[in-house]
Formats: sequence, structure tokens, C-alpha cells
Amino acid sequence: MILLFFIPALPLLASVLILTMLRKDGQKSAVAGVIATAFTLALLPFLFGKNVSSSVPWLQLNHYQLTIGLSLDMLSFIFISVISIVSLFVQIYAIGYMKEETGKIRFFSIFSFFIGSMMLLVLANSFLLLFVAWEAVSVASFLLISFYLTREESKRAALTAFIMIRVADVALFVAWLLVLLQTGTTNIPTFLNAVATGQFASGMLIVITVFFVIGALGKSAQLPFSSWLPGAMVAPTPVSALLHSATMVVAGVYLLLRLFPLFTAVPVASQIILWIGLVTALVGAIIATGQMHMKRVLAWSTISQIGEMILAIGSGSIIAAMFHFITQAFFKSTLFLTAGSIDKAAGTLELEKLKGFGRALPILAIPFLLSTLALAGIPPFSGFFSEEAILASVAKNTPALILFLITLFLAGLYIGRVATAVFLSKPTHKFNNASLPFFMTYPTLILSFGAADIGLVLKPILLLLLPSQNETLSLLLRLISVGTSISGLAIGFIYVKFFGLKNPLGRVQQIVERVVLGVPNITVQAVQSIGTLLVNLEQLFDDLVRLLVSQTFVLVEKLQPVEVAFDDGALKFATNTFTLSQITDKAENIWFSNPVDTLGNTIMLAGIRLKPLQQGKTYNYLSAILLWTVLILGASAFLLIIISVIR
Amino acid sequence: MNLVLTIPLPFFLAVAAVLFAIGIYTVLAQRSAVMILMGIELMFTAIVLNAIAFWRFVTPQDFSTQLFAILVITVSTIEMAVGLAVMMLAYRNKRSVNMDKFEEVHET
Repeated sequence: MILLFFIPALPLLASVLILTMLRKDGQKSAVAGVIATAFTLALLPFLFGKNVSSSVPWLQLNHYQLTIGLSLDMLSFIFISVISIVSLFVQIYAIGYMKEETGKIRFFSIFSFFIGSMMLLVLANSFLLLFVAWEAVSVASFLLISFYLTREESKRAALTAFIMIRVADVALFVAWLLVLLQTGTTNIPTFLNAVATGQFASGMLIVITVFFVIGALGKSAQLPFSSWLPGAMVAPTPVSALLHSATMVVAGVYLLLRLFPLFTAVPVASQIILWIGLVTALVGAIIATGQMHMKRVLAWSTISQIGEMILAIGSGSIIAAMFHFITQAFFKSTLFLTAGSIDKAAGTLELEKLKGFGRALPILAIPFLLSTLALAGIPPFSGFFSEEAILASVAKNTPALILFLITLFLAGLYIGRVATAVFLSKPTHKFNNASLPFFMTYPTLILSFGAADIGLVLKPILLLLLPSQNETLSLLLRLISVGTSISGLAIGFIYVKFFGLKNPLGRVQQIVERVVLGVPNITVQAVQSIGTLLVNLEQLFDDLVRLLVSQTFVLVEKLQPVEVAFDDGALKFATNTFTLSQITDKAENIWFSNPVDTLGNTIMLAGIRLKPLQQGKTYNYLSAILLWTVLILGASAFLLIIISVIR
Repeated sequence: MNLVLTIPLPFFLAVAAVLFAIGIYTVLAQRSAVMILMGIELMFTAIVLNAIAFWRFVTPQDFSTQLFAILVITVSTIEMAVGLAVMMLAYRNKRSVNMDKFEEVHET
């Protein structure tokens, strides 16, 4: 059990070590990485055939339990074996490849980190740990694709890859959260038991399965998530050889293999992945035939091969899928390493410029041609056996069988085209005799031998181990498949010889490629335009409200003089009325109230004055009488005098 | 009778006027009611004196003025008696002969 723990721990430890302690020296860091991987490989024989697992509860929330654990069974063992062998050789190769590059420490550190995360992914028996490792692998891929920091397309490709995979990972996340909700734990064997014993409602099971499938498709660059992988070819070649051909992209296949009981429980899901895998394989092969850049051919080829693996899972044969994974890992990584060597020697990977380059480096012809024959499925090389296994699993499904045979033909076509152009043509310009570093050639050669004969070796072993999975194939079908492969290679050879590097499938290939690469673009643009539409709509509303408010202001301004005029008019009216009332008041005072008052006062005064007459004062009475008498007498005397004067 | 008076007529008239004036003054200015009656008496006297003076100097032969004089005196006496009687009555009510106190017609 402790040994099992070391498998992922050693590379991760190496990664940390490189970053912290070996900062000065690039070579030592590379060696540390290689040693870690070598140790991991060395541990493998001790673990062979053991089924160990342990799981630790990490977090308990009410009745949900999150676990962490590692487990080893035949599936995991095969995967870690392949990963460690291929990683070891690619790392040794990388020592030579990265010799003149800057940033070696960063490279080897992330490389070891990737290897450790990949080991963790295949050994995890908890969805939580699997998901963490899944994301860690994506992060490592991102960091490695964008390794050449000065190149703009590296950053773009890395971001595209990361985001596209992330979008699919949402589905994966939802899927295992649903599992957690239903079973109350993140332990994978518990989940698979529950599925097998039928504890899940069928609707929920379909949903979970579909989401897991979407997550796997994203990581493995199947349709519709295919467009990131060709773009990721801007990474250094060791990265392409390890991550994007043999290990990271098959994580999706591993997930589907691990969750195989789901597919037996949900037959419709099997059909779905069968057809997705088949269509991807076919479309990938079509697009691969028209590529002009060697690594892009290999990228589309990887997509196509993984499609074949998924086709096998969908047809119900785990053994075929695993077998094809093993063989594809070997021959695809060999092809990539050879491509890297050509890149170092010739400085370019454009097929037009590489015509006949094989003459300058004949030693590379061995791995390349061996891998070509393996990929095309020619016996007795390994690809033949694994593709035969897939053929056996799909034989009962006639339309699928026909499409698969077409895919085999196209596989021969595209790889034959490249092989012929580079190694079997006459050179168009002069190449200098280049030489390759020691570290680069030998790993390539060794891996290529693996590519060549692993199939031969494994077939009887597999037959021994799992007799029940052996499906007999009719001789006719075998002959047809071999014939298809050979004819594919032949057509590729002839085409290049006579027509040069023109696109064999012409317009068809171009249209298919444009569609596959363009679909994510269109989706993103659609979402973006919806966003823009919403922003514009909101802007429109904003403007409308602003317009309304401003018009109201204008209206208010226009109304203001009117209101002021009213105000003035009312003021004038009031003032005039007031003046009028004041005048009336004065007039009334002068002409009416004052005279009346005066009259009243006068009468009152007269009364006051006359009051003593009535008061009973005798003096007053006597005075009045006297006065009156005197007046009368005076008046009469006067009158008498006047009369006498007149007489 | 041809009696001679060495005092001419105007002196008699002047005296009668002065007496009349004093009588008026007394009536108007005196407080006591008895004194007012005396003033009235004075005024009567002045009038008689005025009449007699005019008889003596204008028509001495006509003795109607003498009759007039007796009449006037009689009247004045009667009037005096009446006045005193009224005054006595008033005094019984008021316990005073002050004229200023007889104002009961209207007091404001």
C-alpha cells in the first residue's frame, strides 16, 4: 500500500524539488525528473497483480462524506505502466530536446508535476481526488502549451485548450456532485456497486452518464470539443508526445473505462458514445488527410484514434479499448518524437519544405516507418492487433463497421502520405547532413520497437488473462481490414508520388475541417452577440429614460416663462386691485367717513355743550334768561331807533 | 304841585340801573336761596324806583304809577312769601339752603 502511495508522490516530489532546490541548474533538474519517473517504473513489478485500495474520509457534512483514496486494479495498473514507460522515454528525449532552450527548470518541474497528477488521476478511487487530478492535469497542460512565453499563438492556444476543457469539466463536476447527492459519498467503487445493484432511478442515471460522457469528451478532444488539440501543437514536442498523444487526452477514455458499469446499465449511453466515437474517428481521419504541418496531422490522428477507443467502449469491449490505448500510446509518441527530431534538424515541420528530408537523417526512418505501419494496422505490427480487437467488437453493427473500415482506409492514407513525402521522396532542395543529440535518438528508437511489437507480445498475454473477452473474427473480415489498411497506405504513397502534397480529398476535407474548427467559434460568437444584444438593449432603455427625463426638463423650461407671465399678471392684477381699494378707502375717508365723523363729533360736542342746560344748575338757567332778555331788549331798542329814524 | 327836584332824572335812572344790576348779580352769584330772594327784591325795588322817577319827571299829575308801585310791592311780597314757603319745603328735604345742591333735574 505504501508503494502505491509512492507512485504519484515521487514525480510530484520531484516537481517541487526542481522548483525549490535546483533553481540554478537546468541539467540537474531534468535528471531529477527522470530519476523520479524511473523509480516509479521500478516500483511497478512489485505491484503487479495486486488489488489494493484504501480510502480515507476527508470531510463529513451531515450525511455526505467526501473521501480520498487510491486503489489499484488491472485497469489502473495498465494505465500507470504505459504512462511511466512512455514518460520515462519522453523525459530522456526532452533532456536533449530542451538543451538550448531557456526556462528548463520550469519545463521539467511542470513535466514532473504532470506525470504525478496523471498517476493520481488513474489511481484515484474518489471522485473528488479524480476531479482534482483532472484539473491539475489541465493546468499542467496549460502551462506547458504556453511554454514559449514570447509567442502569441502559444498563449492563445493554451487559453483555448484550458477553457474548452473547462467548459466540458462543468458537466463532469455536476455529474459527480449528483453522485454525491444520491449516494452520499464520493467513493467510486461504492457508486459502481450502487449502479450495478440498481439503486439509481433510471432518469437520474441517464443524466449522470451523459454528463460524465460530456466531461470525458472535452478532455479527449472529441467532437464537438476537438478544436483545441491541433492548436495545442505549438507546445514543445515532448509535451505533444506525452500529453497530447498518449496520456492526458486518454484521461477521458480512462474515465469511461472506469465507469463502464454505467454503460451496461444505460444502453442508450453506449449507443451515444459509440456513434460519437465513430463520427469523431471518421471526421478526424478526413481532416488529417489534408494537413500540411506534420504535427497537425498527428494531432488529428490522435483525435481519430481516441475516437476508435471510445467506439470500442460503446460497443461493449473494454479489452479492445485498453489494448488500443496501449498500442496508440507507443506508436503515436514515437511519431511525435520523430517529428520533434526532424524539427530540430530541419527547423521546420511544413511538409512542403520537408520533402525528401529522410535522406539527410536516415536513422529516423526506422522509428517513423515502424510507427506508420503500426498506425495503419499492418500485421504483424501492434496496431493490427488492437484494431482487430476493435473490429471484432463492432462487427455486429453493420453501418458502424462500414464507417470504421473507411476510417482505417483514411488512417493509412494520411500517414502514408506523410511518410512518403518525408522519407520516400526525392529531396527538392539540398539538406545538410544533420546530426541529433544522443539523448534524442535512442529513446525514440526504443519506443519505436515498443510500437512495433508490443502488440505481438500483448495479444497472447491478454488472451491468457481474459479468455472471456476473446471474440473470434471471421477470416473474411480480417482480410478486408488488412486490405483496407494496405490500400490506404498505397493510395497515400501513389498520390504523393504523382500529385505531390495536394489535398487528396480536396473540397470535402476543407469543408469538414472548417466546420469542426468553426463550431466552437460560432458558439462563442453567438453567446457574445447575445451579450452585446443585451448590453445594447440596456443601453437603449437607458437612453430612452434619459431622453424622457431631458424632454421633461425642456418642457419645464419652456413652461417657466408662461408661469412667470401668469405670476406677473396676477401680481399686477392684485397690485391694481390693491391700489384701487386704497383709493376707494381714501375717497371714502375724505368724502364720507370724515364728514360723517365730524358731523357726529360736532353734534356730540354740541350736546356736551348743551348738557349743562339740562343739568338743573339754576345759575345756568338764570344766565340764559338774562342773556335772552338783554338780547330781546337790545334788539327791540335797535328796531325802535331804526323805525324812528326811518320816520 | 309844582315841587322842584334838584336831582335831575338820569341820576335816578342811573341809581335804579345800578340797583337792578346788583340785583341781577346777587341772583346769579349767590349760593344761598334766601340771598337770591333778596336779589329779586332788589330788582323789584329798582324797577319801582325807575317807574317812580319816570312818573315824577314825565307825568307828575297822573297817579297811576303810584298805584303801579303799590302793586309791585304787593306782588313782590306775595312772591317773597311763596318763595320762602318753597324754600322752607326744600330745606326740609335737603337740610341746606345752598342753591348748588338743588340739581335733581338731571345729573350727568
